Amino acid sequence: MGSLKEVAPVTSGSDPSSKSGFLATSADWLINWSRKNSLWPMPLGLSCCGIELMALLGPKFDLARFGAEAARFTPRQCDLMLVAGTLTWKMAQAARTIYDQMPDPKWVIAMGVCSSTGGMYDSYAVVQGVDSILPVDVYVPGCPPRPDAVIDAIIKLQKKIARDKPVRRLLAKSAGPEIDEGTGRLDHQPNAAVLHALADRHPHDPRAQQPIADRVPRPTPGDAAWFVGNPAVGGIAEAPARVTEALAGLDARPLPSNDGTPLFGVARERLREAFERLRRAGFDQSTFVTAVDHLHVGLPPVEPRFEVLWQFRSYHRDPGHRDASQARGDSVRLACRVRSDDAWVPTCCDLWPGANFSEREVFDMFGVRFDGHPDLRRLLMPDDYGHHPLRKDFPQQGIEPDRLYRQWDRERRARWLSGEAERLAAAGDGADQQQPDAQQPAGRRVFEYAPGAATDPREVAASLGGDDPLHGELMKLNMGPQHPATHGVLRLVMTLDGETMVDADPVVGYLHRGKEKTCETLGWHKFFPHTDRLDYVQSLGNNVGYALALEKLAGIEAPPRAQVIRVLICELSRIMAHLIYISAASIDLGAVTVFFLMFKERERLYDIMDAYTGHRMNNTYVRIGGVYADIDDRVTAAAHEFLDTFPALLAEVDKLLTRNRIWVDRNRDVGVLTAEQAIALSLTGPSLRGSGVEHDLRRAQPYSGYEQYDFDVPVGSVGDAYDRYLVRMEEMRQSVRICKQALDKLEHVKGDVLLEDHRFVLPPKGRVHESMEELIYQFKIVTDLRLPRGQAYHAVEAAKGELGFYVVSDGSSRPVRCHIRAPGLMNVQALPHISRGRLLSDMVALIGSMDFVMGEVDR
Amino acid sequence: MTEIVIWVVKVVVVWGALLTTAAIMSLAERKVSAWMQYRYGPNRVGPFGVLQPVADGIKFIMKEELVPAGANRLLFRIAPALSAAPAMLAVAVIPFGYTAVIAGHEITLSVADLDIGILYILALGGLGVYGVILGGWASNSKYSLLGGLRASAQMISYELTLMLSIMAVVLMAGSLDLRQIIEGQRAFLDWNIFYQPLAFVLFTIAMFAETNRHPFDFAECEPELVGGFHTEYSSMRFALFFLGEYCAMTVMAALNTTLFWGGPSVPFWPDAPWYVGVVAFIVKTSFFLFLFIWVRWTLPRLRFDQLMRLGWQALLPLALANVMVTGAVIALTAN
Ligand code: SF4
Repeated sequence: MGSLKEVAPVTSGSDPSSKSGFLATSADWLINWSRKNSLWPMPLGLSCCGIELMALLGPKFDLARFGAEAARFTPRQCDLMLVAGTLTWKMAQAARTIYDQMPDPKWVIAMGVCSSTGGMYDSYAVVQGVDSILPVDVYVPGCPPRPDAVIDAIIKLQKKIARDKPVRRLLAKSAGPEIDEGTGRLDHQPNAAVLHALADRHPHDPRAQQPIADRVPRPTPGDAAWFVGNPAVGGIAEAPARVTEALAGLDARPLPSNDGTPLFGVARERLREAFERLRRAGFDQSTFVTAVDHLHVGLPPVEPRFEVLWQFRSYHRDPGHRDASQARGDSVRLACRVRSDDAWVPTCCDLWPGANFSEREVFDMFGVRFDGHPDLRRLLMPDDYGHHPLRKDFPQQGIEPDRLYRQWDRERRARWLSGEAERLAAAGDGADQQQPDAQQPAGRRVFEYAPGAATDPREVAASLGGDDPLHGELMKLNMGPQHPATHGVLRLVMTLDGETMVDADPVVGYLHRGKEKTCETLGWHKFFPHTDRLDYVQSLGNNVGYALALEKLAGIEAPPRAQVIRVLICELSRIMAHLIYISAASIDLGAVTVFFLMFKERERLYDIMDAYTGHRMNNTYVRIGGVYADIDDRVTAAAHEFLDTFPALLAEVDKLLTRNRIWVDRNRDVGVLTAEQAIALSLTGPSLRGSGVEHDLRRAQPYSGYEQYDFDVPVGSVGDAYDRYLVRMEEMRQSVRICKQALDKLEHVKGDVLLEDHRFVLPPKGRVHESMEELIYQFKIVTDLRLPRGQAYHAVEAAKGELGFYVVSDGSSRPVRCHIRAPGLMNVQALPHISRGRLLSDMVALIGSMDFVMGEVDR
Repeated sequence: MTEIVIWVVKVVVVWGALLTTAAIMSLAERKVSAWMQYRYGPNRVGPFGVLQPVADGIKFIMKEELVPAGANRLLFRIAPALSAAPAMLAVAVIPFGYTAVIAGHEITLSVADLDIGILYILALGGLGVYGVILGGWASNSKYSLLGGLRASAQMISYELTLMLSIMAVVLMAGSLDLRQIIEGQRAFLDWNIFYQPLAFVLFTIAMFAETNRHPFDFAECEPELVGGFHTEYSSMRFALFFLGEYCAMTVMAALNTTLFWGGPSVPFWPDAPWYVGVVAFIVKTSFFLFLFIWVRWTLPRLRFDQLMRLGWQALLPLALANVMVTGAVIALTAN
């Protein structure tokens, strides 16, 4: 002892024998003990793993035991960042900002393969592991990891913390600046970590050196001039009289389709006329708008290259068609081909407001402009992204994704924070200058939704406030992309007048993982796991939808027993999804305990799924031509038990919510949509039925034998949030009924669960292990499944609404197009319409009542 | 000399008890919610997780403190103290027992016996909101600002109901002195709850609003405002807000006990020893503390305008009517 020099190492605790060393060690121990037992998490629930994160907080796993359940949504009060889900480049900056805003000491757990490595998403939109932008302490493998695995990670982290020497750090730190400005770091420059990661990613990629045309290897189909309307494939579906009448004189060419929906090719000049006439003929809902790029990389360019497709549905019965095939006459599809150097078509979103987001998506993904669109911005990719990812000459892994952040300068950040979205900024259109801006709409036109209603924020504010001088001071409030009420990574830029919302602009795409592009790269079969991760709270239902679309294209049908199993798992998935809806909606409105009740019940469903499929969620259990394996008695017994006891829980929820005065007051008359509005906004599923439209695809276009089941379709009367809630509650009861009938059917419908068809269907796994031929077939189908040429759309009634897959095949093993019609996107799109003039608090009720899952919204 | 010793001991004991209660509440909140939700709650540190508040506390002290860019530094820093101090001061006038006789000394069981105790509590209660408003405003964040604004509107509307419901009790006791009020309720059947049930209900509702507790927790309101007024607070200053909230809850629960449930009075045992009285007081107060947690984890949250409507259109007229009827009855019976 003596000079300071000798004391210094002692303070650091390296010599436990001396007294001060002992003190430091004890202090270290005490600090570490407190830190490791009070890890308050920042749940960055980005996607599917976020659901398991919720389960981790729930009754079965109870993270609270470790003192780590006090999830705070403000980064200032967290110690542990739990990155659960897929981090996209669009989200990366927000994630890093949140990390920077957390006070030291802080730790990060990367939950799931996506956050650890990018996982199955090797695509242009996804960060290949969060460790490229943040330091990670513990990685948890699994897709998603079981909650036990995350508990294990927390214990590992606790051990790591226990090894720390905080006193030494503190002494070193006290010399430094006292106040960390938190957000200040990001003010003047792009975050170095993000830029560094971006710079790192691509030079390693040998593809970066090749010319674009060689980067995407595609098998050469025999017929380069193939296009959807090839008369050799499919049949021309007979169109109902009102369609033929409406399109008379417009040179509409009937084209063959594989799914029975009449398809017409219309020239661009005639499109507007066709839209207007169809709208007048009673087609009141736009089902989807999408496009197909007919370029084959490596072959001479085809022109006209892009084919834009519209599908419309009529909820008005056609008087001329009263027969059984009525349902088929309810939809009509239009196609129009445009040249890549002149890629524009007229908009239809003044007639069908629900087409707004779809058109923006097509513009974003293909660069096809919609003339007259009031607000043509990118939808999924960041506003200044320079490419159109679904074009065939755009590689799967993307081109220079750092463009996403290169322009992250002060000004841009300021605009981002103030919510000034760059309207029409995408006109710059960066890398490919193929398109002259001649057709660029001149300015932002007011989006006429309800004729006469004000849409300009100032007008709305004025109409609300009258002459009150207190009104009129507008404030922008940015909600999300990481916010407790936005159910994942939705961002809402709200314009507030006091607490009254005068405008809300949903910004989506923070979970855009490039699924549609991935399907084109992976092939039909290998895309199945990606469908699970669309609406990840009802994975198996998505599987079924995709399988049915492929089966329609292939012209096959699953064996009867498989169909019964599909119905059973679809309905169980629907219950799972609605349980999430109830839990999320109730937690938003403050009834937190209901959330845990729901998760207790979900755990029982997880157990059933686990027993049947081997995984809790994201099960991937459906195959083309059936399901992977038969259901056994253990599972049916568990399902019976669940179905017998489940209604008791619903009765309890009735007590806690349905008849609770506060709950009723919060939901009644909030977000009212009339039937016409709901249809016009392209809503489907419970959101549509809440408004009193009795339309359920299980009834209207039965699939998998739904016509043999006895169930009711509940509808609301007012169309407010409370009606939508009641509809979902009742749907769960109906699902229980259907499940019971399906279980009874399973008793006597015996037989295979997979079709015997070596062209499209996997051989049963048992035989693969024994026979060489079967092994080869299995290999062929997994890697090289070829579907017949043609295109088909098939939609199922998913928990959120009409989940449709529009698939286009050229006969090769590479899909030409797989468009996913996401009901959730339409629900998000409706938010501004139902929130105008309501209070900020109503927004959370509305978000809950529209019930969307970002995995599906963003795809 | 002994006076001073007694006084110091009382101060230490009362404040010690208050802070301990706050710590216990932070654990109870997590444990009770866990039991209501089929979970265990914290159980890794100490038996049944009793050391959890200690771990949280040390962690908060050791955590880095951030001041957001553009914040008003001075106000930002004093706001948490402003919010915690009033509740800690208010506890001084709460009588937690009658008179104890220890070693020949007669000790009144409260830190200070003010004859305007109720006014003192109300005045301090009114101050508590400044911490929230200033914290929200000084943070330079929109969420915080909205939280602070909501808090001010809410407090003003509910303070009226709170005062009027207390007024009915004051009219009955004829004094603003809390000790007078408990003295008047010594016998079980004299408890104010039997004469002023409406005032009790109004007071209890206003008590939730006054302490910013669910279902009236609009100032923080996690799903809407992330953290509300304390969104930008980290480390110990954030913990101080929580400490303040739990202290305020404790004071309100104790006040409820004092005003309506006889304070330290034990039913059917009018001459119970003083320590039994203290236990009775603690039991009654604990019930109201439990009520806070129970409601928190059961009910959904109101909407802000519904809260205001409830306050101005239902509770306030009722409270006014209650005071008038009470006054009339007292005037008539006095004649
Ligand atoms: S795909 Fe979904 S479940 Fe799998 S690791 Fe990624 S986020 Fe998790």
